Amino acid sequence: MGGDPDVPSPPRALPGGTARRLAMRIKILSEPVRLRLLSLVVAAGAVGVNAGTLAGQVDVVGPTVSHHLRVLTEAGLVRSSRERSRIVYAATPTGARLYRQLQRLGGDAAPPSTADGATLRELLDDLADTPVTGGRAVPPAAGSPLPGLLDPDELLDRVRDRLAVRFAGVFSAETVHRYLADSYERLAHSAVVTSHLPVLTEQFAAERLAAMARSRGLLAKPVPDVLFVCVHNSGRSQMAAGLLRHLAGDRVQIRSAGSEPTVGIDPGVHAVMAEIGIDLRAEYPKPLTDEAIRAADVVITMGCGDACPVYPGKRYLDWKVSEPARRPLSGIRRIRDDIDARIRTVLLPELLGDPPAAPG
Amino acid sequence: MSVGSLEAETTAGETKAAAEHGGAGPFPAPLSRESAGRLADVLKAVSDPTRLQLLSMIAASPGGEANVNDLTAALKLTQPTVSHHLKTLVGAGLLSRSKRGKWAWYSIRPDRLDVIRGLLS
Repeated sequence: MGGDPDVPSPPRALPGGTARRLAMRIKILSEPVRLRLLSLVVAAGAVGVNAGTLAGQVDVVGPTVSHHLRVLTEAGLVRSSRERSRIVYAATPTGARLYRQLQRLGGDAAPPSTADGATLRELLDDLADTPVTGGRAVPPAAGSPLPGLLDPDELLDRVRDRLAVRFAGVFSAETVHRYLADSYERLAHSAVVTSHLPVLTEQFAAERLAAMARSRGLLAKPVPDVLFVCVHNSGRSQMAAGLLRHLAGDRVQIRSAGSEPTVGIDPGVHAVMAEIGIDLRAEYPKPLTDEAIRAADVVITMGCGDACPVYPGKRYLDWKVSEPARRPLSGIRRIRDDIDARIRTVLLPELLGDPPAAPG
Repeated sequence: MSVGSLEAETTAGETKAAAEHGGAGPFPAPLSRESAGRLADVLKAVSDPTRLQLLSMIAASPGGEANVNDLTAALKLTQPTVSHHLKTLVGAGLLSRSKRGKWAWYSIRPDRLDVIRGLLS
């Protein structure tokens, strides 16, 4: 290193545009929790690791974990797959290599792997060009934040404004905000990663606020309120809610929830309900909440056992209905028809005092 | 600044799985909270366009060394600004600083040279 003061000025610097682009991509990773999550996912190897385990190891709240995992996924460093009711995360080849290079930048003495042909620059370039789920490319526009970098709080601010308008005169803005934050946290825990999270949160929070308002007599309660509860809120309780909605229309207020809600409604359940003209595409698994139980006049449990707290003055029914997950369509149809028969013969007469509705 | 060797012991099976997993070799152990904080600080130091430009100029300088005067002239920034950026990079463990005569000379730390070259070219 013979520094000679007489040598000419140093060579040209990295072009400004390139420097800005690289800086922006490195910035995505310069966050401790995000780095730890990436390291945990890389350490899990090809087997992967589920979100619950990750959240347990980084001691931050669920929405934060979900947010970071979404950023990593959209950047193409991590991919998620569904295993039964859990989402499992594994590093992509780019993610594993980039993590190694970052460690070396941080001074880790780990020897370079022979397969590490790509330079840090190539990996960072790759990162921005990796298509994310749905074939959408990560926006390349310099200076604009990646979608995953949006603060979830910012997205939720808009939702909070809308809900505050909707519940004006019923609940204070603070109450709305508290329920919204809690709803986000609960959904993020169970739904793990979904680009629809703010939308679902709005819907879920609105339902909870409405249920609470109704149970306190703040909103008119002209019709009986029914709550279906199963374990995942992805099969039985969704089918029951869909069937009752079509059988009773707006003569009944219907809710459904799961004691351990899963990520999405079982595709087989969608299929067999669609066969009979009931569309569940707008439905989503929701956790069981206290307001839903308090608002309900009738609570029907299906396989969730003791998870549902018991309040006085309500009618509780426990239906022994099989779990449809991983069954063939023929099996799911039998479950659907079983639920349908129970609604017609037991529930409707109880709710409305009506004779069973005509099949349809 | 070094986070030390974080390599976990691996079995033959894990090594094989790792080779199939993007060819990244044995899986490193996950970062501790402290290591992650340190690494994030290094990345924050690097994730600035001017500091990346400084690194590129130092890496390409004759002898791998440059002084604040040359760097300031080339970047058309004030000397305090350049000094601040250089200090940040020294603090992150990416640059070494040695005072000789009138000037402080900055060079990329040898153990980071490969990876930083891979970042800049």
